[in-house]
This record gives sequence, structure tokens and C-alpha cells, in this order.
Amino acid sequence: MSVDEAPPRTAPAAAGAARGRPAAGAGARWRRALSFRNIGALYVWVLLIVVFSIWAPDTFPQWDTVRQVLNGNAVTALVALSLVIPLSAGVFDLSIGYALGLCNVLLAYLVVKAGLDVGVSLALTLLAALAIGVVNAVVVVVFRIDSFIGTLATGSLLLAGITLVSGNSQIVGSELTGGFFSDIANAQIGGISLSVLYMLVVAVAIWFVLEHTVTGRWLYASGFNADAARLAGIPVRRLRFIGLIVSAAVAGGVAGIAITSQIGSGSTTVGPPYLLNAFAAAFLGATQLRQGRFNAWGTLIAVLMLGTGTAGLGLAGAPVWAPSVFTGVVLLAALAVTRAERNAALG
Amino acid sequence: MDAAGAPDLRLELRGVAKTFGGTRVLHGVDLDVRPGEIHGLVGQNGSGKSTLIKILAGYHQPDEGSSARLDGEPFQLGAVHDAAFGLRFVHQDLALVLELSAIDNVALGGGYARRRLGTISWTQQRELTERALARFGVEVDMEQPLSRLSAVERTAIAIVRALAGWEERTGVLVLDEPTASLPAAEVERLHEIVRGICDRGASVIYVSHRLDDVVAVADRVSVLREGSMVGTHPVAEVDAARLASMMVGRTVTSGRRLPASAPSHEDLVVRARGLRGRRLAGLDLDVMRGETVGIAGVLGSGREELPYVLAGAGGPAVEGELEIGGRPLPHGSPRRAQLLGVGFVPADRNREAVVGPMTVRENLTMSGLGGLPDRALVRQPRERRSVDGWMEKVDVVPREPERLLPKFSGGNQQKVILARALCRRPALLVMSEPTAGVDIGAREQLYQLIREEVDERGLTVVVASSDVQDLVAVCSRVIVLKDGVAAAELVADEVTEPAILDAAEGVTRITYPTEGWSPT
Repeated sequence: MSVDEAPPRTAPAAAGAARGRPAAGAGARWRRALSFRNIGALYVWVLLIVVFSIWAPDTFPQWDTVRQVLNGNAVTALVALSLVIPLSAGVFDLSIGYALGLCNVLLAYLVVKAGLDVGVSLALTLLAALAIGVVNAVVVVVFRIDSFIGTLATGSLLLAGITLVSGNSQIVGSELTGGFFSDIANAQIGGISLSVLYMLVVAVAIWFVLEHTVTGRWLYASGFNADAARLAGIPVRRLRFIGLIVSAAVAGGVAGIAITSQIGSGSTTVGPPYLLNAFAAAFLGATQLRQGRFNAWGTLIAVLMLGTGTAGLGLAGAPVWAPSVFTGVVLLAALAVTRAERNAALG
Repeated sequence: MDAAGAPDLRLELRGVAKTFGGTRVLHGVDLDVRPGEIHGLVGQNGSGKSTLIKILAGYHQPDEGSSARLDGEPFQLGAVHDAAFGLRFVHQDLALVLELSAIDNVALGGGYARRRLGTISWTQQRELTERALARFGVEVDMEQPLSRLSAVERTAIAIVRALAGWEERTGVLVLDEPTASLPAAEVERLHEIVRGICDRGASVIYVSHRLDDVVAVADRVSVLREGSMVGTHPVAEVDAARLASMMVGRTVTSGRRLPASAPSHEDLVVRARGLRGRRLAGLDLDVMRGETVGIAGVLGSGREELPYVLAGAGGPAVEGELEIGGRPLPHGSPRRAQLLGVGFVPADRNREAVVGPMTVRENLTMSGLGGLPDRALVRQPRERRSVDGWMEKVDVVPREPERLLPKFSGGNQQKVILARALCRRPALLVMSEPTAGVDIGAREQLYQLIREEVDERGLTVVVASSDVQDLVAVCSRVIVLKDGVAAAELVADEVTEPAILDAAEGVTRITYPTEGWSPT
């Protein structure tokens, strides 16, 4: 008999064991909410702050570091948040990095090369982002191509678009580096840039949809068991269609505009590197607060925790490869801990 | 092992106890299994029979004081033994890889035949598999992926794999709910295979909640109730009714429903003309408001397909006219069906109904609460009140709406799924295999709930089941399908178990169709 044989599904003991358990009181609820299992990343974050404050006492525990972490990670957070809705519904979007990149060069092109009004350019960029989303959605939902492969393929097409629009060189111009255009992301309120505000607005919107609407419940159900969801009358395909439009609109539209304003140029290399970090943060976020569900606040915590580690390592003078090692190790550790706990809970 | 010194008992369990988190689920159970016997083990969900099997298989550690002997030799319970040890298991879900062939699946248990370079010798492997299958009288197409084989053929392959390297006249084979997902017509074939194994001297522990099944195949039967052994009896001395009362500790009367009074309206809730699909071959169906219609038939008759078609979930191959409440239902849209007032309970609870990582509350309100607009905000106090009410009504135990649904027993899960379908106040309730993997107690409750809904608010019910009991308990009319069309109809007093079985068996002699695509 093979050792990996699954145990029978029904757990006859479960019902009996549960009967003896008293209803959770307020104390138990708080204990649960504050448990490592629920908000482990927050504790790791606090630990990181303590460690770096000791390691680099002159540079790390400064107001500047807080600003650097927030302002520097707002775009990463936006891209990571863009994934929460499609991942909840059970579809991957691997094209977000390229969507971000294309919107970046497109916006720069429209403003600098085409000389269009900034407002018009912004509107066209948003439209382009929505169009990318519709293409992804048609490929995955209408043509029923696996989202993993499908969005990888459209990502490749977007990469071609990036090269085409930019002429394979950086687009720079004074229109992008000053005035209103620069203010879109960089204007500061008490040292915090506007892009952080966008990040919060998107997070609140996603949180509200997932936690307080029927649509949110349906998105999770579609992701957990699409067959059951469909048979329960949930419009799974429509939800996935919308999910893929949301990811392109947020990653391409919102994050794409923010990054263009932030760096003041259109660059062929700006988008793709965000993909990996965004997925890391979204998956790490899913282990936080809502136990196995992709969620907005968990994702934000993950981005900021990883960002704090990266910033701290920089300030402490660690070698340049250290941040990547840090991100990889944290992600593996988080997923391993979650896995072990899930096994323990089911065992 | 030396067969000459055959001991009196093959397997001997003494005082096996198990406590989970302070709750005692097994109270010192004794079990004796004789050489070469089929030993039935029955009990409701939660009676401890799965726990006992899991202890034998080594998934659970028993409490102190539990002991066990195999052929007189003491061995440690709660440890995983290797294949050479005398205990073999076939679990309920079979643990087969459906995409792979019989050859691969058997080899995954016992290892592939290799050439010297380490590559697989397919010729040799094919011969090995063929011999292994022939040994137990199993004949299947070994090259086909298992998904193309019938349920009984898959079960047989799982048994063959479990018995790889088995020596005759030794060992104990444990079959955990081998007929749970088997259509009634295929059960007999499984029994033959199991008897064949016992004739060669193996002992079999046959765990089942289908009492007629156990009575038909076992030599002796042991009954567990609430973690204690109620008793062991030769099968000749008990019948299914006696076993049922031993299991629940009271007398069980199979709730036979009186024929419904004439349908209250003349309007049709279901009107189907010329339904065709994978199995259906031009079926016409009319169901009146307030009627309870049963769908019977052997595997491949269209009985499995019809409920899905009525719920808008037929595959792309489905065609034909279908009206629900007088309005056309396009094929392939369960959502549209739901909006027309169809509530659906699918056949495969784990795959098609339960959304695993979600709570009872979330699962119950998944299709939307009655009267609540679909795109509304979730109003939590209101949702909780409604969920509490439904849990009370369908009697989900324990009443913990925030527990994950998979942590409940099969019967409780099914109650939640039924509540999900009912809480939109559907005009038509469609069910497929409504009591698969549900214990007797919960089964009666499910029947009762459905009858109440029918009597109190004129719910119309269509229930397709391979378990004739379901149809007798709920239906006032039964349609027997054969080859995708209605072959017989039983009304009112004619709706009895023997009559349905006769009609289903009588109208067809094709018992195990594996590739019965409907003629088009």
C-alpha cells in the first residue's frame, strides 16, 4: 500500500469533539486575533524594526526611514493589491508587470512624443489598462485558456507593445518631471506622498468588496471550489472576467500612472520586476488575518514588512544580494508555517 | 506465515479506546475477526467506526490499554506497517489517479517492473498487472485512464493494488465504505470479488453504512454505536431492520410516505421535450406543482445526468426544450436556473457542493438568502439570524456557524447543502443522490425536512437516486429511465422498493455500461 494514501475524508470524531467546546468568548476572540498564526507578519515586522534599530542605530530609527518605506513601496503595494481580486476568484494574472510597463511608456509617449494634454493622456492610459484587462479576460474566460498560461502569453504581447511604443529607449521630457504631472504621485502631505494615499484608497475598496458584499463572498467561493460555486448559482465566469479587468486597471492604470509620475520618465525596464514581489506579497498576505484568503490588509502588511526589511538591510550596509535572500526566505518561511499549521489543524 | 498452524482468530482487538481533545470517541472496543470470514462493521457517522479503522491503519494513536494481535502475535496499534505486514486497506476515496491507466495505478502501489537501465519494462508490467487482475476475476481495459472505467471497476483496481504481494490464507483486508459511491447495480459485482478473496483465505473487514449491502455479503457483522461495540452476530441471525435499530438504539421505521393528494395546480413546474445529452436520448418530462418525482435507473440510463440538466448544469452536449415554471431555461446556466426558482443538491458533495475552506454560515448563504438582493451588502446580524434559524431547522450539530463545513460529518454537511438550496425558497428542488454517505439518523431527518417543505409550501421535488430507499421515502411518482428515455412509471401505491428495483432491472439487462454514449 502506498504511503501517501489519503485518510478517509470524514472525521467522525469532529462532531463529538466540538460539542464539548464552549462558545468562544471575547477573550478567546482577542487571543485568536493576536495569535502568531493570525498576524505573524506583524510580529516579524516589529522584530525587524527592533533588530535594525540595534544594528543601525544612527540611520534606521528615523522618520526618514518611515517615509522611505511608505513612499518607496506604494507602487509595489498597488501592484500586489491588484492581484487580490483575481487570485480570490481563482485566476492568476501574470501580465501585471507588463501591463504596468506598457502603461508607463504609453503615458510618457502620449505626454512627451505625442504632446497631448496631461488629462487626455491620463484618460487614454486608463482606457488602455482596461483594454488590457478585457483582452486577458477574453483569453481566460471566453476562450477558456488556463489563466497561468494565458496571461503569460498576453504578457509577452504586452512586452512587445512596450518595445514598440518606446522605440526601445527611455522616454524623457521636462513635461514628466515637474509641475502637475510630478505632483500626481509625489505631492506630499506631512512627508507622505500621494501614491501612499492611492494605495490606501485601493486597499479600502478591496477590503470593502471582499468583506462586506455578496460579490466578495462569491469571489472567495469561486476561488475555493469553482464547480460548487457554479452549481450554487454563483456567476463564476463573470466574476473572473471582472477580476482580470480589475488587476489590469489597478496594476496598469493606477500603479502605471503613479510610477510614471514618480520616476518622471517612460522606461522599458520598469514594469516586469514588480511581478515577483507582487505575487510574494499577495501570497504572504493570504497567510495573514484571514487564514488562507487573499486580502487587502494582509497584502499591505506583507509589502511593508518586506519593504522594511529591504530598507533596513540597505541602511545597515548589508550586501546588495541580501534583500532578495530576505524576501525569498520570509516567503518560504511564511508558507511553511502556514502549511504546518493547517496540517496540525486538520490532523 | 505458516498456514498449517492456523490460529483460531486472524485479528484480535482488545479494549481499543481513543480520546480526541477530552472527548472519548471509542470506549474500549473489542473485535474478533476469524480467518477467511467477511466481517461487516456498521455504525452511524460518529459511531467511531472510521476512527477504529484509522487506528488500525496507523493514522491515529489509540489510548493506553488498547491491544491487538494478528494471528496470535501482538502488534502495535497506531503505527504504520509496511506492505509485508498482514493488514491491507482500501479507503473510501480509493486514492487512485483517475488520469492514469490500471497498469500505472497498480504499479504506483507495488512499484514498476524495471529493465536493467532503470527504465520501465512496459511489457513485463502489463503482464504483471494482467495476472494480478485475473487472480481476482477482474477484467478491465488496462490501457484506459480510470476515469473511463465504471465505479466498480475502479474499486476492483484499488483492491487489487492493496493486495499486491499478498500470500493466500493470510492477512486482513479492510474495505472502508467500498460501496459508498457505487451504484446499486454494481454492488453485486463487488461482492463477488470480495467473496473470491475470502475463498482464498484472507479475512475481510467490510465497513459500510448500507445495511442491505452488509447483510448481503458478510458472514458476521459487528455494530458500533457511540463509540461502543453493541455486539457481533452471524448475519443469518439478523436482518437490515434489526441492524438499523442496533445502530441507532431504537426502532427505526422506514418513513414510507403516503401517496400525495392530487397535485394542487394544473400548471407545470417542469416541462421538458426531447432532452438529449451524454446519456439522455430524447426524454420528455412533465412535473406538476407540489409533486415529488423520483428518477430511478441503472448507471448510464440518464439517471445521473437528468438532475444536472434540470438545474441548468448539463454539459455542452445537452439540447432539447426545457421550461421551468413556464419560462425557458437555456442549457448551461445554473445561475439562470436558480433565478427561475430551482434549488439544487448535486451528487458529489465534496467536489460539487461543499466549499472547503469556508464556514457553515458562508456555505449556507452562498446561493443568497431568501429575499436578499444578490448584489447587496452582506448585513451580518441579519445573515447570522437567518443562519441560526436554518441550522436549527435542519438540525446541524454542533450549532457552530463559524466552524469550517468540512469538519462536520457527512450527514451534517448534507443538511447544510440542503438548507443552502432551500433558503432561497425555490419552487423546484432538484437533488441527485441526496443521502450518499449520510447515516440513517440524518437520512430520516432529510426525508422529513423535504416532506415538510412539500406539505407546507407546495415545494416541487425531483430526486434522482441509485438508492431506492430515497425514492420510496420521498416520492409520490417514480420514473424509471433506460437508455436515456422513460421506460416505466410508478405512481402512488406502486412506489415500493421491490417495484422500483424490478422496473429498473427488468427494463434492462445491460448492467455495467462503461461507454454508453447516447445514440444521436
